[in-house]
Amino acid sequence: MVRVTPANEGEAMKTRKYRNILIQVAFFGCLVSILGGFALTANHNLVEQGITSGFGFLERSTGWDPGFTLLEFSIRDPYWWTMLIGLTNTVVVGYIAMALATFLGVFLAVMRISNNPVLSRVALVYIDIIRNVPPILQVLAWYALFSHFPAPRQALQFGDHVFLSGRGLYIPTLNIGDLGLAIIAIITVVVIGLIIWISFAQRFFFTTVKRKLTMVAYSMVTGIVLIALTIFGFMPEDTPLVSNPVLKGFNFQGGLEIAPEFTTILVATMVYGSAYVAEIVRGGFLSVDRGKIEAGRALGLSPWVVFTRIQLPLTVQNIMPMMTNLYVWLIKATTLGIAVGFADMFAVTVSSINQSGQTLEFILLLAVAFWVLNGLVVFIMNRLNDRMQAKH
Amino acid sequence: MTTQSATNPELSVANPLTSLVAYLKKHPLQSAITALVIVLLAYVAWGIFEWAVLKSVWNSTDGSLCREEGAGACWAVLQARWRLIVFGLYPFEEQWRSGLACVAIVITAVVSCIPAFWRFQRLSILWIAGFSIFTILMSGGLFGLSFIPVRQWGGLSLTLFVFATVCILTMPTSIALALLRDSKLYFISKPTQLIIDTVRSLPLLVVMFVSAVVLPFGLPDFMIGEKLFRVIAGFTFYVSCYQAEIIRGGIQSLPAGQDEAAKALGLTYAQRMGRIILPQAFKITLPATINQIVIIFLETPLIVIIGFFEVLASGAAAFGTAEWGIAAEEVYIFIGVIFFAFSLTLSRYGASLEARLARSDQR
Repeated sequence: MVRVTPANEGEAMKTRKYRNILIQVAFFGCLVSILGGFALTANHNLVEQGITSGFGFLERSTGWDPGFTLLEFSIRDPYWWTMLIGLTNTVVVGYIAMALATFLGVFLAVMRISNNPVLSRVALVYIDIIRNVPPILQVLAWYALFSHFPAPRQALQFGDHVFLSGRGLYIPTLNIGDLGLAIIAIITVVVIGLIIWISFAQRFFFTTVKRKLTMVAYSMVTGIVLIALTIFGFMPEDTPLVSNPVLKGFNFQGGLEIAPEFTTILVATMVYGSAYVAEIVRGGFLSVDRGKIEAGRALGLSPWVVFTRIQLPLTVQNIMPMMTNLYVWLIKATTLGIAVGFADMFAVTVSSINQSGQTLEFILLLAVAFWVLNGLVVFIMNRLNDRMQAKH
Repeated sequence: MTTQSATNPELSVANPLTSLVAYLKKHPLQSAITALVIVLLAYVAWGIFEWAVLKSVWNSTDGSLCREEGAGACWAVLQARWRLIVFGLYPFEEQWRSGLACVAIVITAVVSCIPAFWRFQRLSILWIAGFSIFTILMSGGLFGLSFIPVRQWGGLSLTLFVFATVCILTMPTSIALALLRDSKLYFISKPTQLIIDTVRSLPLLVVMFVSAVVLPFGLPDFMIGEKLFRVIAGFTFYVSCYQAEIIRGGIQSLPAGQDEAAKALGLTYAQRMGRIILPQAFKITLPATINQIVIIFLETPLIVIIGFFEVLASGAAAFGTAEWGIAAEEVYIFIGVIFFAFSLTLSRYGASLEARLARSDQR
């Protein structure tokens, strides 16, 4: 340490400046050389194994079946299509699990906050158990449960057309092909998104409850009409419209088959996420400033108005950053699917690497995909958060 | 819905029966919900009790009793296969070493929860000692113990080994990352931020997979090493990125006057950080750190997917034979209870610590 006196102050500043530049150059140089050395060695080793770098392999066909798929698949499909299948599986499971975890979690939080001792204890036990058992163990335990249901011949039956067996859950479906079902799913998601947007929107057009309700009704009617048109357009000519699962031979024919792998990941992520949502919501609710609640009461507002207009909005504001982290975490948690053979993005990547040897390229694609997925969640949540904060 | 505490003052009147009647009259909806939930709970609890105790099978050497019609939980699998679950593929005659090693690491962990040991020197000595005992017992080659390579480690002791190693290594790594991230120099803080944010956006499994499978391609031969140690390194780096952000939060929550006063006294960077900033930041972030340790503990079994024979894999092997194939849930419950006990203890300890720190701040 150079002792600073008025005489050598300028000198000391200069020395420090040079030293700082030197440190930064050294640090940055180290980073670049580590990364560069890694890339060069990796390239050298891969070339030695006869693997060419670049993304041309994405057009090659895979030759294996990823198992559970939502999109249509044949083993001659190229790698980029397989990756897309993995991405779709991750997104669909991740987002459905997120939504379900939020509903269940809020419900649990309400139980936990309520002044009913029994409800509160039940929620506490649930939350403690779920949060203190490793997620991977939960996934495996759910899978053991779902795949140990009886064989199709002794399948559990709910009503006339819903069957649960070790091979999966079978429910009736519409006989309109995968494309028709996909279109209906997209319309449903868009309409739900629209309704949520209308409910939160601050635009002049949506200022009154009446206008909001009208718009919600309009979008619902439009959605229903569009769905009806889709069904009409894709309606089969010779087979009945509704396809029911029927036991034929050793398995069910017809209907929609929901594989136990899918159910496992969905249920595990939902259950695990809900315990965390409950804790976050409870924490946010309890950290609402007592003074604001008391001020509301002092103004003579009814308990209901205090709850809906003061406690609830402030709770939502409090929990937004933590919910963002949780959602990102839940999306990442779907990678546990590889433990039970669910073809999520990570599982597909691992198989692709084993088959093609294009290690670095696939890892890069995987990293970019997760970066985009997480970024999307963070972006949407931040936009919502800005809206919430702007109310005050 | 209010935030009042669960106990209701109206119930603490002298005569419990009259006060109960008064409560039921005043809150009919609450009482109905309570009654309904209690009935549901009793139904579920009876079902579990019947399965786990009344109809359960405790003794059956080949699991035949478990496969009889109407049999409940098959705890016999634990009696027959517990050594496989806990010790994995560790040589049978030497399994006492594995057990003793687990006890040593648990004792070390418990002792380090005592505030009297919260000095840098004491904690370091304690952990180096505990960890050496663990490693010597497990791998042998010293004091007449036969040498057992890392590849044969398995079961609970492998899980504990990975957990303890990651915890110990995370502390220095995360401090280094936090200081780099918090640096005033642009070309140090920004690249570090990029690295931390990238790692945090990836799932842990991907990081483990990369360190197990991808890393060997890019490393010179002498650095490749054992797969287990590469995965531990990757795991450590992943956790460090989270822990670094926690520590940085602690550093930033300190009043600026602390650092300025230290600077005005002419202290060097190392003195300011080591004597003034970091000790206070540690105190603030202690609850979050313990929470992070719980997370490390719960994420450790993920190494089973990378192909290590830790407790979940040995559990799967325990029910993987034809005779015990029906007992998967029982084995998972057994492993789950072990994890639950450790994890709940640790998180409750963290909560009590947090409360104590809050009290000491008020004084």
